[in-house]
Order: sequence, then structure tokens, then C-alpha cells
Amino acid sequence: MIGVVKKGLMLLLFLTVSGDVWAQFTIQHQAPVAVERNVQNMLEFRVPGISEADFQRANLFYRYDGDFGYQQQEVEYRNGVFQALFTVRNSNASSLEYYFELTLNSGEQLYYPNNLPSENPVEVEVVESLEEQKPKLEGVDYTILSPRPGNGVTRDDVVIAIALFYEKSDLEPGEFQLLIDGQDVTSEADTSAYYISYVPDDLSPGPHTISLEYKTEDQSYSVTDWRFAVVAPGQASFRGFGPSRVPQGQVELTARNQVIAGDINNAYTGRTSISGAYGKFRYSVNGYLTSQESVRLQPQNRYGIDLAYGDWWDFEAGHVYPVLSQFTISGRRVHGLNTSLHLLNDKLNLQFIYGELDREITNQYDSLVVEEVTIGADSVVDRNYLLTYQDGGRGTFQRRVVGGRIGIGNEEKFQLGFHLLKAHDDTTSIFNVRDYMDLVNSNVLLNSNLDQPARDTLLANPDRLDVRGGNIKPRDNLVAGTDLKLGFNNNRIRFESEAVISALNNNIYDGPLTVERAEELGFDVDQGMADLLEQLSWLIIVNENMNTLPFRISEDENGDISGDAFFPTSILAGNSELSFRYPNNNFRAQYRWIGPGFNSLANSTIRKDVAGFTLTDRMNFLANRLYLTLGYENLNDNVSGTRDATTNTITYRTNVSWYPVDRKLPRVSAGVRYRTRDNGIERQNFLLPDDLVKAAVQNIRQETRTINGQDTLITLVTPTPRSNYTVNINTSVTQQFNWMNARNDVSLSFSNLKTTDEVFAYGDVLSTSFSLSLNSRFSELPLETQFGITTNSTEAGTGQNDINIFGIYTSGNYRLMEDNLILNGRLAITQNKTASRMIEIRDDPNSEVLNDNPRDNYFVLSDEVTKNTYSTFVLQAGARYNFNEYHALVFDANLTNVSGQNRANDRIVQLRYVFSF
Amino acid sequence: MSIIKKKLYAFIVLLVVAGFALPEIARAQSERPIAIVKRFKPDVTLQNLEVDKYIELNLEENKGERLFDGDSLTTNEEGFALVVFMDASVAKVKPSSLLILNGSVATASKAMNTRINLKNGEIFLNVEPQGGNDFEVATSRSLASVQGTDFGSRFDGFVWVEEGQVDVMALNSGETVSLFDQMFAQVDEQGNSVESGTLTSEELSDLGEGYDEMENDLVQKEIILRFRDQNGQLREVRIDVFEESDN
Repeated sequence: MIGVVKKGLMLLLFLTVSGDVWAQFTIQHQAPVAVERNVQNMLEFRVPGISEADFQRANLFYRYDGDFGYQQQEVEYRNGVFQALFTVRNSNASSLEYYFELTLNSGEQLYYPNNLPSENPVEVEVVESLEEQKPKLEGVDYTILSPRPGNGVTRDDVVIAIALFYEKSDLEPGEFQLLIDGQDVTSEADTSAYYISYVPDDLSPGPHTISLEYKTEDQSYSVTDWRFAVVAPGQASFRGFGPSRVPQGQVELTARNQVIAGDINNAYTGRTSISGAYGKFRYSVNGYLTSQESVRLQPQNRYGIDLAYGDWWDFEAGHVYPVLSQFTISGRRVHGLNTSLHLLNDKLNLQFIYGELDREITNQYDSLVVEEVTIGADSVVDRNYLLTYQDGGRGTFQRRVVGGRIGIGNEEKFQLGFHLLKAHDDTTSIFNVRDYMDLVNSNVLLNSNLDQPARDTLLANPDRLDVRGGNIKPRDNLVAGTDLKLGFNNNRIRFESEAVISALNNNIYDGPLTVERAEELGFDVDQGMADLLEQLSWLIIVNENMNTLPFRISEDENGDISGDAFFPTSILAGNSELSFRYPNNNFRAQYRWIGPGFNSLANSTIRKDVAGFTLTDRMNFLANRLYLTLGYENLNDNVSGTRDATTNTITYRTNVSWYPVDRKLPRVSAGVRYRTRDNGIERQNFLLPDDLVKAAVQNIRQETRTINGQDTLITLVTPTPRSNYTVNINTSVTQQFNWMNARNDVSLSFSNLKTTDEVFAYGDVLSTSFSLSLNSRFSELPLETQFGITTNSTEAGTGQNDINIFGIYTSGNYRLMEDNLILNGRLAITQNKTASRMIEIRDDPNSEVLNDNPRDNYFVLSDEVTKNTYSTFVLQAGARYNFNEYHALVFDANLTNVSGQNRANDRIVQLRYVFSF
Repeated sequence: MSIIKKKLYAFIVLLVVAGFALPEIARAQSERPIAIVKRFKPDVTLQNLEVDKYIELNLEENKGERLFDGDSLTTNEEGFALVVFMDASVAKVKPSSLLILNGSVATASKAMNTRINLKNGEIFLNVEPQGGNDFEVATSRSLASVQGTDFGSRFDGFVWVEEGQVDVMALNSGETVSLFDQMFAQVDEQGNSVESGTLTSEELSDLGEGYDEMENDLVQKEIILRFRDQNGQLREVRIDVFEESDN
């Protein structure tokens, strides 16, 4: 039976996950070959046909080196693209894993990758920042005469001049080379032995880098390089506000008209952001208002203020995204405040979080219906009283969160920290019917259709009122932990450890457990214990609804049941890691243990019931151009020993990345991951022929036992066996080349994931994706173009679902009138083909009728194939006109046609006014 | 007597040798410029009679024109020039000025000696700290020695200091006065005496008038703006702002 439930859940999960590909939207993404550390990387996700009115939120979930939990950040939707500006600030990470989650207004969630995204995220290598580090030329001194490093000059005043001082005999034969933005201009420069100058004809506005190198036959040396900027004459006067005492900001007003599936919708949004600084004091304010705001959703309007003084104090209020630790809260949005203090040269660090994790959403009930329970044709034996929700009417309690951390010591040497986070639902925040009396005492007139006998029955037994789908229950959660950070040998050797404990109460309506309540439940709790729970209730309400009860129910010789308090280790979690960070080798050993009862309501992505160690070694060669990563991981579930079987997961992984600085050379990344999962249970079912054993619904075996002195053959249902292996190959290549008077960047990605299930006939998964993108910037035309192709083929459940998605897009933008008018257009076409077959249960190949014995049941694929094919055409066009440096008008139009769905075209027209100051 | 003769012969030989050698040394030194005209506003002319050099600076062709030992630079009544020396010191030359540059720059080190003979007009200098080098501004009556400062000099022997220290000597008498921040000195016509005093801020400001025409580069300042975007994400934007430098 357990096996059946698990398989059912698997199927349900699978259908849920793969459901997004049947929806109108598909997510396209070109993963980068690698992401550079401490550099802002842009991750773009394209969803053809979507508009701002279609989704509630978009999130990027990411983690480093296979962490058990994901951090998250909200993703901005701009100009038809979801853009996540992402910076790898982890100084030790060798790989980044991420997935993208898009929550539509309907509540449906789309993912990239779409197949079990949290388990199979996109993985890219983290490489060091690619500042080319040529060896310094010894024995040459210099004076930069013009332009001074960091300064700005007008286009007409650009004179590049540098004086050199050296002894000729000290240098090996070679020549000096002058480069601007990497372009060699030596032949056009005025060079003499000790002085080099160059007057460029027409250097474009913006920042530029000048490099002076000395090239010998074998080696190129760096003498110096410096940056300056070509600025417009008026630019200096406008921006001459010194250290930003005058605030900068932007205001955007948008009006949008759209017709989606025949429904006309007008939406208006306003965004504003103002920021500035006054000495060490910095401030910023932002706001976003939309007419799409709804009390049925979590906040769509957002605002916030951020104040900071030096590196000492930071205060954020409004919608904030605090990070306390990976086990508590890590980027989840909070409506409240997040403030931190760093005192005594960072030796004393304090952080405080307070706010609302979820806002209240009122329950909207539909009606109170009476369902008669009958026996036979019309013999009514009972009545059920059901309160139903309106469509989407299920509400949410206001969930408040408060937490903080104190860290003593500098984390680069020694720091000991303590943190605590409490999330608590406000039971009074919404009207929530638990029984009939709640309804009677309210002003909601839902019982008017009840006859008097029914009312009398419910008044006598209020608990007989059921809420269809269950009423919502307020929860209470506490996570407390400590962390230790140690650094040795200039922080190259680090030890970090974090241990946390959590408590989760799934229903706090009745408050802490009392002596009386315990008696009702059938066990004894003494008054002292009840008083203690009462005293603890400000921190966490402890009662019988705890996710993990700290009581052990025992029965004495007299048959009396009593509850003894004990410490449940399953609510613990911990992570310890030792890392060696040397320039050419980065090694990390990690041990993690997370109990099945560990819960943080502020971070739902933490993987639970898992323990084991992970070893990762990352080697760098050729001055950070070549990376080799080796990894081994051994994890077990069932860490508390409460399950019948323990699954062991072993993962081997390796990745090679070639990431040269010279963009004429291709950048390549190739990785292989091999993972096995095995719980040691043998697949067996003696009632089925060998060819059907792997399709068996139940795993059963026979065993001889002595019963009443006689050997008896009995049949046992064993835990569901689990044994599979997965091979995951990821490769990507990107190359820059000049062609057709354009600088072109072409990227190719290929990913293949194959899971072979050795004990279940319908557990195989094969997923292959390929994407190509070409970005071209034309040198003689103010034109930039993009072209891309994506394909994705997934066969899951050994034929249960076959999904093929093909997408192609092309886009471009063209600048006119001295860049004041920018025209852009985009055409995207996707074709989706799905074929699905139900999985059915049989026990006879010649009959669909099942016998009474469930143990000989087996799964079989239905002959009926449900096919679905549709294409999406999205045409987008827009223009931006900058009236001057303050005012701009942006127009966008979007037309979406979905073929094969028998629906009208969707269209969106949007006008945006932008005021920058 | 013989000793005197020997010394005389030795001196003559030395002179002859020097006569052959010095031009070679001078030629070798003149291979590298001692300054460049980084920016100018016509009309500005360069001249060096010894090498038959005469250039009317043209904005199309003469940006960054090099100045060698012995070159003279003349600005007419409309002209301005911004001269950068090999140690990155800057001279801003006002209209109707004439100055002759003398100096030498070593090849293997940053050793250099610079003298500006201000024959007419007015200049303002931002002189880099000189270490062991000499940087001097001479007029017919005064000599100002500088060790890293911002100061101005007129051909009539008036010197003022905005910041730093300048030693001003009356050429005839040798009387020397040290000037510090916001001080001035006036050497009399005969070059005998030096009158010095302090300047008010207004006077200092008046003296600096007109040099705006030859402002040096715009100084880049980075402003870090931290704000929350419309999604509430904390963002950090670094904006480069260009301001007129104090030079």
C-alpha cells in the first residue's frame, strides 16, 4: 500500500511539474558558459507572450556547490525579458546552481529547467574575474601626462601622452605597444624611445582603457594601463553635484492596454527611485504602484527605504530581503525592517529583522451546503454540512517574523554568532471558520439556506461543520542557531560551522498544551510542565500540533498513558565545512546533517532528512584560464531512523572550463555528473512473471516464520525499492568573432540528462536540450541584433510523457537621431508537442477488471495517447524617444497568436513615460 | 706662473672639449621633449631659432605638440595654452604671454630640471612635488623656485601662491622670500627688493580668473548609489561623475 501511495505521489508530482509545458508559456534561457566572481552577471529568461499582468512574481533560486537550501532573489521583468542581475559574492564557490520560478496570477508555477528544477538545476562554473594579468615590465618608469587616470575629457581634447624612463640596455629587444580598449593603435601613435603620444580621431563617449605594453619576441609585458572617459561638454556641468548631495532618481509612469484571451484589461503602473549620499550617509527610496494590486494576492505594490552610514549602519524598511543564515531566512521578501550594525572594526555585528512574511488574505466562502448520506436508493441516514470556498477564496493568515543575530569577532579571524528567527501567524488577522459557532457569531450570512433542524443539529454539534478542502491553520515556527567562523593563514584556511534547532507548530489556535487538554488527548501532563509551556508560549506555542512532539507517549503497567518530554534530534540541522583557498587550488570538505523535522517557514527550499559529506576540489591552471573541478558526495536520508529503508545517494562530478581572456578564443565548459541512488531493497514480487516484476505496484516477498510452533510461509510487503543512476552531461561554448562589420558573440549549449531506473519499469527520464544564440553589434550601423534557437526534448516515465519544444527568435534595436530614438523589434516562435499516456493498474493482461488481490497488481501504459500540439507566435515592436537627458517616452506593442488552441490573439499596447533626474 | 699657465691650458682644453661635447649632449637631450602642449586655444605659436622651428599651432594637427629645450611659446591676445611637463606638472598660459622653456630630462630616471623664462604675460602652475629636481620660473627681475605647489607668476615679477611653498628671489640683490598659502611677492623693477604679503580670498580668486579657459581634465568621481529597485532588490549602482578639477 505504501508503494502505491508513493507511486501515486510520484505521478501526481510528475504531472504537476510537467504541466507547465502544456500551458501557453514556455521559458527560454541561454545559460552562460561560466559566471565571473564579483562581477555583475546578467541571467536572462524569456517567456514569449507573457506580460506583466500575467504573473505575480518571478524568483531566481540559487545555491553554491550543492548546498541543501536555495537562496532567492526576485527577478525584474523589463522589456519583455526577465533579467536577474546576479553577482557571485561567495569567495569560495566553484559552481553555481540555479533555477527560475515564475508564479502566474492563476497560482500556476512555471520553472526553468522544467523537470524537477530544485533537483536538476542549471549548473555553471564560477570563474575568477577575467582581468588579464600580464607580467609587469621591470625597469621602466613612466609618467602619464594625458589624460590623467580616471579623469574625463571632451572628445576634442583627447590627447594620450606618456613619458617613459628606462635604461635601454636593461630591456630585452622589443617594442612598446599602445592599446585603446584592447585595440592596438601603435602604428598611428607618435612613438619615440621615451615618449609616446596619440591623438585619436573620434573616440566614442564613455569610459576607455589605455594600455601600454612592451612586446618582445616571446612575451608581452604590461607597463601600465589606466582608464579615462570621454564626456560631453554639458555632462560635467549637469553632473557636477560632487559627492552626490543632490539626489538622483527616476520616475516611470506606464499605461497598458491588453486583450488576453478576449478579456480587455487596462493597467497602470508607477515606479520611482530616488537615491543619494551626504558624506558617509547614503539613502535610497523606491516605490512601485500598480493597478493590478489585489487584496487576494501578496503585495504587488512595493516600496522601501534604505539608509546607511559608512559600513557601520544599514537600515532597510518597507519590502526588504534579509539574509540571516542559510537555515533561517535567505532572501525571502519581508514587509518590515531589516537593520544591522557593525561596530568596533566589525568585531561586534548586530542584525535585527521585523515584519510581515505574508500578509493576510481574507477567506471568501461560497455557501454552506448540506449533502445527504444515503444508503440504497433514497434512504437518508445522515447529513454532511460543508462550507465551501469561492474560487480562489482560500485565505492566508498574516505571518509575522522577528529575528536577529549577534556576531562577536571579525569573521575573517574568529567570529561566534547566535541567531534566532520566529515566524508566527496572527490568528485574529482573518475570519476563519473552524466550526458552526464561528459562522453563527459572524456577520456572514451563509447559513440562511439551512432549515431549522439542520441549524439545531449544528448548534448542538458545531464540529459537524466541515470546510471543504480543510480550514486553514495558523502556524508558529522558531529557528535558533549558532555559528562559528575561523580563518587561518590569512584567511586561506577557513572553518565554518552552523548548528540550528527548529520548532514548528501546525495549529496554534488552542494555545499551549494544558493539563486538561492532555487529559482529553488521553495522557497526563503535570502542572509544572503545563506552566513551563505557558511561559514558553511567547517564544513558541507548544501543543499537540507540533510537527515533532517533544513528548514520548508511554503506557505503564496499569495501562495509564503519560507523556514524557524528550529531545527530538530530528528538529536539528547543521553544517560544518573546512576549506583551503589557495590561488591554484581550492579544496572544501563539508559535512551536513538536516533532520526530517527541521523547518523554517522563512525558507522552504531547505532539503530535509539528509546527511553526509561532500568533497570538492577546484584546480586552476594557466593563470585562471583553465579550471578543473572534481567532486564527490555521499548522502543518506532517513537520518532519524524512522523509515523502513535508507537511500544512499552517491554523486561524482567533474567539470573542465576553458575561459581564456582573449575573446578571439572560444570559452568552453564541459561537465559530467554521475549519480546513483540505492536503498538496498531488492525488487521482488513472486506473484508476477519476471518481465512484470519491475512494474509491480507492491514489492512483496515470502518468508518462513514459526507461528504456533509451525513453520509458516508468510507474505511481507517490503518498502519500495529504489535503485537508479543518472548521467548528466552539460557543455557550452561561446565564441566572439568579427564578421559582416559586426562583433558577434555566438553561444551554444547542450545538456543531456538520463536517469535509468533499475527497479521500476516506468522510472526512466531522458531530457535533452540545446540552445544557440547569436548577438551581433554592427560597427558601421547603429544596430544590434539577436538570434536564437532552443530545443528541448523530454521523455519521462518511460513513455508516460513525451514533450518536445522548439523555439526560435530574432530581435534587434536600431538607434537614430544621435541615439535619441531607439527602435526595437522581436519575433519569437515556439512550437510545443506533447504526447502523454496514462499509467494504469492491471493484474491480468487480458482484462481491465482487477481481482481482489492487490499484491499481483502491476502498472501498464495505457494504449491511448493524448497528443497536444500548438505554436505560439509573438511579435513585439517598440520605440524609445529621449526628448533630452531628463525625459523619455517608451512605446511597446505585443501581439501573440497561439495556434491550435482555438483562441483569439492576445495584444498588448504600452506607453511609458520616464523622467530621470 | 707655469702653474697658472697649466691651469689656463687645461681650462682652454676643457672649453674646447666641452664645445664639442655639449652640443652632442644637448642634441641627445633634445631627443626627448620636456613638455607638451596638451590643449590650446589659437593663436599659439612655437618657435626655436636655433633649430629653425616655427609652428603656428593648429587644432587639427598640433594637439599634444611637443616642446623641447629652448622652445618659446607665444600666445596672442586670444590665445591660451595648457602645457604639461614630463613630471606631469602643468602650466596654464594666459593670452599675450611669451615664455621660453629650458630644461633637460634624463632617460633612465625621472631626473629633470625645468626653467620657464616668462618674458611676457602670466602663467599659473600646478607643479608636482619635485623630489631632487628643480622647477623654476624666471622673469627679468625674479626667480621662483618651486617644490610642488599651485602658484602664479607674471612677467613683471609678481608671484602669488595658492597652495604650497615658493621661494622668490630678486635677481639683482639675491633677496629671497618664502611664500606660503595665499601669499604674494612683488619684485621691484630693478630686481633688488621683494615686497610680500597675504592675499584675501577674493584677491586670490581674482588672480585665478581667466584660467578657466584652460581647465585641465574633468576629474572623475565615483558615486555609489544604493537603492531598491521596483522589485525591492537592493541594488548598487556606481555612477561616474565628471567635475572640473581644482587644478
